[in-house]
Amino acid sequence: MTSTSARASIVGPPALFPPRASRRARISRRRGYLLTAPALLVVALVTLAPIAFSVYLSLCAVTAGADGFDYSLVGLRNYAAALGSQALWSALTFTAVYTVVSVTVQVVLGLGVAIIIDRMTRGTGVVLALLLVPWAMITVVSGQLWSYIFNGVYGLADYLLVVLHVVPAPVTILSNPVGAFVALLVADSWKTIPFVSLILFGGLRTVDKELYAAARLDGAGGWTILGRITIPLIRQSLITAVVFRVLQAFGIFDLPFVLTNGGPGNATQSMAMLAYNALFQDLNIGYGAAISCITAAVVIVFAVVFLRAFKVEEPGG
Amino acid sequence: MSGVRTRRAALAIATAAAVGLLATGCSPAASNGSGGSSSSKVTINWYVQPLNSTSIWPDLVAAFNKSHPNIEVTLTVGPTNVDTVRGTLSTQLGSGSATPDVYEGDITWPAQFAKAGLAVNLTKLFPKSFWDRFSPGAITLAQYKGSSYSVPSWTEAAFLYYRKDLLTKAGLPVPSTWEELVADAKKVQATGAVKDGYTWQGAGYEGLTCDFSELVADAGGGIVSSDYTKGTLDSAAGQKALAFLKETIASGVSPKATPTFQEPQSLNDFTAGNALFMRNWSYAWAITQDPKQSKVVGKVGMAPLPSFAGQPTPGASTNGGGGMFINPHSKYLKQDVTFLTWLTGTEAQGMFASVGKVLPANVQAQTPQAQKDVGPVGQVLAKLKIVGRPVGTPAYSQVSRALFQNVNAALSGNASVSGALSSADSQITTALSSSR
Repeated sequence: MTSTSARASIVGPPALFPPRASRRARISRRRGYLLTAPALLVVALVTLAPIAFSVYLSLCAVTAGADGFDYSLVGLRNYAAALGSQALWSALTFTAVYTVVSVTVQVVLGLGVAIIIDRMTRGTGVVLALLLVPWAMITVVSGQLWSYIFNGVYGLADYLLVVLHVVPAPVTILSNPVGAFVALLVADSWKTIPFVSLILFGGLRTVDKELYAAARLDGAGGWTILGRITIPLIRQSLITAVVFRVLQAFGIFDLPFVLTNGGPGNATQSMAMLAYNALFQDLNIGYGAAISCITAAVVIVFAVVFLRAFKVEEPGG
Repeated sequence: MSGVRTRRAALAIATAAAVGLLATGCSPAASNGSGGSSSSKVTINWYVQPLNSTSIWPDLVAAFNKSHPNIEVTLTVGPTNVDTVRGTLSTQLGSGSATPDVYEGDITWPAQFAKAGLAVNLTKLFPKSFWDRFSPGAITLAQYKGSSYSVPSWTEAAFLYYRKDLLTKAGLPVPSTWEELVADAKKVQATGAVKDGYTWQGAGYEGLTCDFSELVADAGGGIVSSDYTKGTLDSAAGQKALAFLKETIASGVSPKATPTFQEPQSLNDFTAGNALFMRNWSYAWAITQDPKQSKVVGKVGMAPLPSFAGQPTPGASTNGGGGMFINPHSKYLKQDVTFLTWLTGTEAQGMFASVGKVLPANVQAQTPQAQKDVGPVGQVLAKLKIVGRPVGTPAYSQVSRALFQNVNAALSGNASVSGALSSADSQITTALSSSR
């Protein structure tokens, strides 16, 4: 009974079109393609065309002329320069470590919050609405607020650390790499844990609560239920949350831009900041495009490997 | 049937008209090339950065619009961070936007913006006599490969701000060396009159490049070689400058959070009455004397920055200030030139002093009255030893970033003095070689 219910909840709907479709189904499919064609065309124009152009730019030396920009192909020279730069490896290391740490922390805490909300018997709506507030706030604005909190002269964080006797005197949180990393993590988690929680809460709502009762009758404890029932049954939601968060964390820009400006030194300079500096500060378009493409390639490789490793079910599969 | 024909004919006429409008351009200026008709009124957009708490920008716009009925200038005020402004403008101009027509840019931009095609070569647009109104030094800074890309508009430099009430009370003269400044700071800090002795800009951004280049110059060094081929920071002068700055933090003369300080943070510290000395630009004077923003109104003095003991005094001051660039895609070049000619004329330049409290770039407007209008800035400016940043290369942003990131790492205790300077030199040399 238990295993049947569990399977039923994770297996997707039956395939819409069987292998040998009837004539009517073929017509219906063709009509479907026709109707979605304008939307697909728009997506191609606003997504694929800029990506293709970025790849082209990364293979060019872009110079300004009297009549506009000149693009001359230079092969992989921009990639060679980027991969030979210490700044890129430093940014890549920071971004990768930050992604792993922040996504782990946010998914674990997000799951905890989601489970609590799922068990609430009243006030769920209010809590869900409140959860949306940090997520809805513009990151540049919240980043500025956090910069006041972590300010080394009058910041609230320093005040609390001293009052709670965590440190004997104010510490310069943003002036050391670990402090700056933690500050980014806290500010980012404040905003994104609600996002993760909402996704996982959606998954938890699909779980049949009788399973928990049955497991308890069989003598299962809280951790066993979490590991054997809850997590397997919300696996799809977890994968969705992790993939979204990894994509966002790897492209992190606005928060370090406002909170640390990549410092101290270049300790919190992300890949996106590196690309921004090349593109908009140094006006080195080809080089900046190469950094962007390297970043995209890393994220795509991760996404493919992750999705294959966790064998995401396809509808009807 | 005839109704259908009529509709088709109307459609054809409308299409032809639309194509015609597209081909000829719809704007009034398109009718006569770059100038616009002399009788029709055109609107040009002017993009500036916040200067200080004065109303200088809207006042200038109002005065120009009043005296030029055929041109209307609209004002856009951008953010304070010059690097953010560069990102905004390079995106906008690089994508071919016709606005802003005229924009204020940093003193470090001409070479980079000229090479990137984001600024008009002004040498041919203005008569030769136009440039006589500026000092030769200001003109050189606005040039790239012998052509001018920026019109100097107001002059800025770094000063030492001090609490004259506290120095008088302690019986101390204004320090002329960095060593004296540190000693004075410690004395006054020991009395409890101030928490901090000296506040400056140590965050990883352009401001740190300015602060550090002054100290390197004081110690007899420079940032890059004179032929712009390599970085020269890892020298005795560079090490002396960095060791001094680190020591101000380590000794408690400067706040521990200095490696996160930009101009607003150091200014807040000073205007709150927490600091004895501050390094800042001349724009800060008006803010220190604004009762709404400052607790030290009437208690502040200004002086040239100190130098190291044994070196000529005063110390070096970085120059800054605003220059106006013209967007290459502007449809109204003629009106842009008219506006900039007026903006750098004696009437508008006098307003920079009387309203904006900053020194005008036009030397004819740098009158005794103007010097009086801008407060102590006017009196002290003539005594400054101005030192430029290495802005003659289009790779200046990379040179500056190599400097401020590595120096900031050393200030935060995350790199050694020689390690940071050596790393900065290596990155500067790479940037310079790739830009040639």
